[in-house]
Amino acid sequence: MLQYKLVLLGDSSVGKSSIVQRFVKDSFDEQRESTIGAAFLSQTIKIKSPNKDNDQENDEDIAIKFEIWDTAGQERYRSLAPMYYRNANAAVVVYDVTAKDSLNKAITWVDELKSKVDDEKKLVISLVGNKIDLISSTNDINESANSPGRQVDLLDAENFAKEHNLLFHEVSAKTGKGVRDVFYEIATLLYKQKLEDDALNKKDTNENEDRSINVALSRPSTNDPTSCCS
Amino acid sequence: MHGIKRKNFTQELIKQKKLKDQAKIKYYRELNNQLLIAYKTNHKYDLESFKLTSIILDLNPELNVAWNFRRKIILNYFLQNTDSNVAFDWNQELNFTMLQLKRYPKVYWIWNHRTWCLRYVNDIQMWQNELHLVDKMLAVDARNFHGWTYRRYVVSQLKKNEPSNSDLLNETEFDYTTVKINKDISNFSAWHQRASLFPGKLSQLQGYSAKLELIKNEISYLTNAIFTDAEDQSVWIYLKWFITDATIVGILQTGEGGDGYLNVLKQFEDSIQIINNDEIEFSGKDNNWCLKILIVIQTIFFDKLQVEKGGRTDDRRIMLEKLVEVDPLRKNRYLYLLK
Amino acid sequence: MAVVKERRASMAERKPSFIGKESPMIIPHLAGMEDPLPEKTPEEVDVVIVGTGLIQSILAAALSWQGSHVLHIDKNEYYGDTTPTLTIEQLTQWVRNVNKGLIPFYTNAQIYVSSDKIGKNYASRDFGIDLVPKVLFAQSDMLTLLVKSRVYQYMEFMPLSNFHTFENDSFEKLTNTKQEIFTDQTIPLMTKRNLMRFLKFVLNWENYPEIWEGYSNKSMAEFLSEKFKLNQTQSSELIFSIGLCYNNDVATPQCLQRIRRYLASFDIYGAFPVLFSKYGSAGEISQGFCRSAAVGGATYKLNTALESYDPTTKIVKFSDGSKVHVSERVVVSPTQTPDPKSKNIPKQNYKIHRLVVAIEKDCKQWFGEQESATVVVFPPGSLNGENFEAVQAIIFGSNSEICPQGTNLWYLTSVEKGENGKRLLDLALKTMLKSISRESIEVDDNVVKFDNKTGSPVINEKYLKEELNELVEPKILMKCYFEQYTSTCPFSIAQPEIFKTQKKDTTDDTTNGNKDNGVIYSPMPSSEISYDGAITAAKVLYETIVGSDDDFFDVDFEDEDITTTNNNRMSYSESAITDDEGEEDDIIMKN
Repeated sequence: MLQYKLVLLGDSSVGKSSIVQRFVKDSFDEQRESTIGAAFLSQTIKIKSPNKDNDQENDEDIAIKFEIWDTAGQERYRSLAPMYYRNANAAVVVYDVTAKDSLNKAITWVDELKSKVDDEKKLVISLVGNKIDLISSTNDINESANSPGRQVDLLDAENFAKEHNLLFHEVSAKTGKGVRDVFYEIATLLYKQKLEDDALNKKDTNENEDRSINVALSRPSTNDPTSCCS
Repeated sequence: MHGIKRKNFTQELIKQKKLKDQAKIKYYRELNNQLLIAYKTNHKYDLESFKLTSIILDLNPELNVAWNFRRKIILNYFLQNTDSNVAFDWNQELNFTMLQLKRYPKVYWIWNHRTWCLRYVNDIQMWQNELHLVDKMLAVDARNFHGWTYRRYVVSQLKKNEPSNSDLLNETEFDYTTVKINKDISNFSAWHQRASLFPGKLSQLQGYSAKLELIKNEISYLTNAIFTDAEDQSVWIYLKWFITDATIVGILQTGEGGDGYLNVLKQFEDSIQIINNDEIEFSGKDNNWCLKILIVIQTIFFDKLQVEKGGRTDDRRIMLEKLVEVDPLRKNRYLYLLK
Repeated sequence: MAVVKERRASMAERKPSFIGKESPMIIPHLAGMEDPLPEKTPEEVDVVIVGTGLIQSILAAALSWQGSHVLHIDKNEYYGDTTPTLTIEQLTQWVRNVNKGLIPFYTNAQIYVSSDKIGKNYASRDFGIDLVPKVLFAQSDMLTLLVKSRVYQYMEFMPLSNFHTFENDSFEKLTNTKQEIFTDQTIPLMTKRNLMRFLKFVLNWENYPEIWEGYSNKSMAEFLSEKFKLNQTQSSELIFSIGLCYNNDVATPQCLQRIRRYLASFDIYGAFPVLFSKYGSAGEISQGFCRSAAVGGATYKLNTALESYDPTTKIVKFSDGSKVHVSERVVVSPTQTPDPKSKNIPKQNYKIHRLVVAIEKDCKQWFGEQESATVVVFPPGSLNGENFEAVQAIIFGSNSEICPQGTNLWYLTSVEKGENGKRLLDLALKTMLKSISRESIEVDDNVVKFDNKTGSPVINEKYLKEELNELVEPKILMKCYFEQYTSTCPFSIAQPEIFKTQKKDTTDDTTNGNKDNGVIYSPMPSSEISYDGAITAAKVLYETIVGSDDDFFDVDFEDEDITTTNNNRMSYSESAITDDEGEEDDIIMKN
């Protein structure tokens, strides 16, 4: 099992949580959620190994576990803590295709994100335009301002994503359209990255002798009370 | 409890659990009946019965009749059958017991079945794997008595299979007890194991001085131990064994102009008295293990070695009287001894 | 006049969606609060907390989970207030602000930053410097709360097992476990007995009043020497390194309690008494509780200062021009008061000297195996006989992720009274620098030989002295000293009295325009090296606001996949990748 931390970014009410909700629970609750769970949500997905030629027996599925962090509202006044960004492997930056300025705001989130992480090159970022269900089927950009319709041009977003090497999707958390693809694409890319890293690490074998141990707080030591004055 | 999540059993949950349990009990009873009929009435030794024992033992590994049945099936069905399709997979059988042991490390019948399998196959590599396994188990729970007994058994089987390796095995096993005791001085099983290994280690050594040195080292290890923890009975029981073991006594008696043994006893007596006096000063009471071992030492002095009483007083009666007070649980035994 | 405050409605009573839940309530896994977030600063909140320090953050989380709507602000651009984790740049700015008088209750701040290293070999943000470094006992209320509140899931922890005492010009590693006492050949037999007896006693000391009662008002040193015949070195290790006391005057019961804290913490999570959080100490935990509070519904706003509070209209005004009506209380950090001269602020009578140094040096020899931190204690008198109070130092290596590879952060703290504090900290620093240079000389075979029997190193003094002449002290990359004031007297917990509401009835004061009438001031950080006391302080504040601390964090988090979440907790620092399949089954026979 490979585990990755994924953070959500974007302005309030662009539907960050709905997307995750859709992904994790495959449901959409119109009245609900502005924020997620006590710690974070986790969701495991299986992807096919991209390298068919490597010695994977029976072409087994690769399990990728996402630990998904929501902003918990701390983004509203730009008050996200360093803890939030720390060691993130992937980010989903969300904007609302029906809100005029929301792509620009998403762009500032991308900048913020890149300035906060240690190794921005390794971070997989997906730019996601949400709420395409609100665009009328004619897809007429010149629709009147009152009726909900597209306010962010698909091409603008696509170009920005291309320029900055971001993944890009338009989705609807409400209908579920495109949501799954966002996460599967991220998972596939992360896995590809891992394979490349592994290949590199093999060359300088065991350079990393200086390992440190972390303590898993969820599991207290089960050792006998031996070493100290029992 | 530290970090262990508290589960809230609401009324509803408790109710659900009860219902679930009831269903479970019913299910188990049915299986049990099936098994008894297959075993006792029909002598049905086949794959189906074998699977039945797996299911029932998974639910209750204490059901020895199921283990017996399982063995009968292995012997009378799998091993009789020449068809390679039903060839018996011993490794899988060992895995089955291992999974059980992980859940119920103290159920005797699982250990029993496992040794039965190993004995039947009697493969040296398998016994060696077994030793690694015991290492791991004792690393998790160093005081598991079953683990230690089993370890002795495995070692004895290894020796049987490879007699030439027996000295080396003794050596590593002895060192293993040192490691375990250093970690936990109160590990009774480790001390017990040590006592069973020490004579063998002694007899392996060539020459008197080498043997004597080993004994002296052990004396200092023991002295260290009684000073570190005089409340722990494991050390005292080992000490008592140590000063009365015929091999050790024999070696000591030939040294120092015949006084070697006596001197060692005196040395222990002094140490123990220091500890006991310290205890009296601190708590106002004698340490009962100190008294007990002092009595043992004096008994050797006066009864076995016939030490002339000049300059030495026989304090055994006084000490027994004290023991009646400080160790009331065994009061009657001391009173009996006083007579 | 004694006012009995009515107990405040619980969350279940206040939030309709929770009605019907059994108590303690269960927070659904998706604890999305039902109302969509408002677009602007809320107009009405229950509690405003000013300053995101450790105690306030715990309070914010506790109140949020209780169901209060909390607005939590901080005038700084970072989290932490009095307990932040700062980059070197932020620390430099902080020092500047202290010296400009912008941050009350700090004085004499000084900082040196090596200009030829920082900004060149190392970046400012490679460092995470805590104003209040702390270690976490494995058995402590803080750890219990971290687990219960799940805040631990936001963080990573590392063990710390090595404690050193500076005594007779050398650093002695503590011998404090039964195993060490049993196997250490250098301890005399009788001492082993005495030490063991003491260790056994102290774990249940309250049950043996006959042993210690006569010493209730006497010093611990007397008790140890008379009752347990421990010599000065041993008793000073027990009192200062294990008990982490400051001076010899500490009363016996208090000291016994502190020694037990250490010993009882052994083997809870492994063979070490304390842990520390990676990426920063109190600063990291503050962030964690703030996130927890946010998840529980609190609103966060950095870069926002408190302008004023009017206890009559209950209107709070902020520096960005916004205002909010408060239905309950306003809690303010003394450092973020709208009126530094206000008499409402509790007196901060106790001074803490703090020195933090980044050095370019490996200190691995002081750490336990695979560890990255150690505690060094200088007992009273050990610094040329000049220090009345102990100097406590925590040293973190780069695996703590608060400093880059090849460097260490040293935190030194003293509660020495008078003007001597800074000099003593410098002296302790110098002593440690000298020692670390001495210990890390390239040792050739002439200097150290290994005893064939025990395998322990034996140092050839003659060669060592020759080598010593070529000592080069490690490079100091950054050094920062400051004095912090607190109302919590060393060694104690925050006194409830200081939280008493400041003059609600303000006939003269309102006319004088006091901007902080009616607010509750939270305490400044204490000098305590562990987190002990922080939760007690948060609880007292909580009780002041809610009326009772019965339901302080009385929540259980519904957990659908507890096994997966727990078992897969892992370090991201290596690669965020582990293979946890197959490892569990290693006990199964291999064919």
